[in-house]
Amino acid sequence: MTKKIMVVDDEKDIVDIVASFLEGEGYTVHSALGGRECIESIKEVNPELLLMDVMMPDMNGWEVLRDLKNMGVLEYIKVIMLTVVKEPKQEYADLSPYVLDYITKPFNKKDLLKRVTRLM
Amino acid sequence: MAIGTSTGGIAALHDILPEFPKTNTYAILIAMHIISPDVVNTTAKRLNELCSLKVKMAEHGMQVEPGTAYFMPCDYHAQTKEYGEVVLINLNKEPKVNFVRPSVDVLMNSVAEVFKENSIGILLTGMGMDGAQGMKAIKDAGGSTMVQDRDTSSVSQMAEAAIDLSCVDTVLPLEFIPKKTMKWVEEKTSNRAAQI
Repeated sequence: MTKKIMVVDDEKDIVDIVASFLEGEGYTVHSALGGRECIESIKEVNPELLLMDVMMPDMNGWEVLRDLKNMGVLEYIKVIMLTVVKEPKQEYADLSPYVLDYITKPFNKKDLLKRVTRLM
Repeated sequence: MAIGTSTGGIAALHDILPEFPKTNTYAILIAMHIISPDVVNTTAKRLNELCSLKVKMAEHGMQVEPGTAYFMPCDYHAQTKEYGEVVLINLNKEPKVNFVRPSVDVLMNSVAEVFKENSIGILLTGMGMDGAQGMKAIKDAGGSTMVQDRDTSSVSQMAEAAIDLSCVDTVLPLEFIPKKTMKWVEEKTSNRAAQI
């Protein structure tokens, strides 16, 4: 069975690009176009890895992580944040054990796949 | 030697740990903020296959042996304790420090206490402030301290918190950290030999 990755971003173009990178490596990719869609579908999808944008209009990626943590699902999912912001705010330091990597946009295919592969 | 890291740490450790030579002069104790035991266990197993050093999970009461890198297990604080001629790893469930367990501060404070001027503290990429106080303890004990630079870090908050405490000897890109560390190990080994 192939490993499942969920890509969460409000920009469909980004989701499609990341999905094509990952599918090319044999992963099964599920997408969510925003934080709420991610929360609604996470249990059904049950991904091994979550690749999530930070800045989304409905709720930011850190808020999504807090909700997933409260739902009790975050302990079983690896998380990589995708963001244009170089440094997260200190107020999210308690989420540090859940976020295995933090990739700054623009990212390149080689670096993204290297970081994903090392976690899978 | 103690290494602390969180976000981005798995990739960083894959880049540098294989560069450390296996010698009988030092051990590496690694505290990484990760909630999943499976991820830490898998990382330790993979690195054991890639490294000259032996890489293993730390267990309560385990003796710290040179030529070995130990990953501290999830949800336990880890401290080094001196018992006569040997140093053992003590794991405990004391309250979280800086929101985390294992805390880098807790590990580094104990390394400073046991190894004093022979201790080395390294902070790699990571979120939050954990590790800064531990680095200061190592520096105050006469040890040496180093952090990964901002450009090669996924997140540089942990390193910058230590820099803010004025307790960092050097800031280096990730790829230069093993070589500089081994230089320090050689110097400390020579100093000890000269004292004997």
